[in-house]
Amino acid sequence: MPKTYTPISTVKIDNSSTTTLDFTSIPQTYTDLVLVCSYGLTAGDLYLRINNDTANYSDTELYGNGTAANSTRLSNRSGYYLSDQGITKPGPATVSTVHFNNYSNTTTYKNVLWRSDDVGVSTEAHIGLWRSTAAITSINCIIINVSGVITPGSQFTLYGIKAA
Amino acid sequence: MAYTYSKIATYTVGSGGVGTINFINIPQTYTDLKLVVSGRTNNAANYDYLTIKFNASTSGYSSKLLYGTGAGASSTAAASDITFGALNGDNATANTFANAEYYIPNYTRNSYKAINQDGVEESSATSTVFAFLTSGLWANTDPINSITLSMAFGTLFKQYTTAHLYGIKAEI
Repeated sequence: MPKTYTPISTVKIDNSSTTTLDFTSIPQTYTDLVLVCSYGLTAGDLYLRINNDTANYSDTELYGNGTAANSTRLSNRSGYYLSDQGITKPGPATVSTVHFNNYSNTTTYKNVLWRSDDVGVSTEAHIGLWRSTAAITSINCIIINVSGVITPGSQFTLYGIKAA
Repeated sequence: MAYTYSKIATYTVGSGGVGTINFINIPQTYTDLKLVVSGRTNNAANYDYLTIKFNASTSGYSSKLLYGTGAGASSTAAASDITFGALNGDNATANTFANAEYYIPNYTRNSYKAINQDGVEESSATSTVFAFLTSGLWANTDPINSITLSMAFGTLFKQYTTAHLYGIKAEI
């Protein structure tokens, strides 16, 4: 097995008051990043931002809720919805896997690909664009829309993938 | 550099086929599991569906599927089974196998288990094959120590079907 898939940082939620989490000082030595999230929220939606930027996001989503398939387009946003159903989640019942490809380059806008499954609610696939040429040095997750917390037992791990 | 992405076991189906594929005594030392299946069954159609069960449990499963057929997209829900993985049937183009990837985070945790699956069936035939994105739940708090794969319609996994189980360790 090649030594190419390396955990950079893990955040485990052990208390019942966490509303934000940040991965900061991300090493610029990998090719791509993968963020694996297993989480629940007591209310609201989990929003993802890059380098604490509050603008320049757009994404196209394909999703199914068990009865119909749909696609939506969101542009000029202040972040990405990791899961966007806005319901109370009883436990770590959402799985999101987010890919940041070629994250350290300083010449192109960044593509972000992610899959999110809200158990009992929907399954989703997203392609996003962050309109910035800056290298990704931090990833920030916050709860928006209504006050809620990230439920204990949730876990977030950022991996670095080296193509060399 | 840490070894974080380790193969736990590989199952390769031999001549004659098998009805189920089992991974037992799964180590409880990883953070997440990833299961990668390349599969084909003896179902007399282009497709079959891969079924996954944990710890030999027959209850507590549910799922929501988003799928495309090449002509349209739809979504459906299953309240009692995790029959949501991609498998080729025996009428698919010869020598083609479906691909299914399951990601199972925090499989040792004492809470319900959320699972996602991405899968595609492969065939050059014009009749229907599927691409799946799936959200699954096993409503059971037991740590996962075994995985059983079977199928919805056929009776045998065909020769050269493979299943690889990986452990992913998040610890630095």
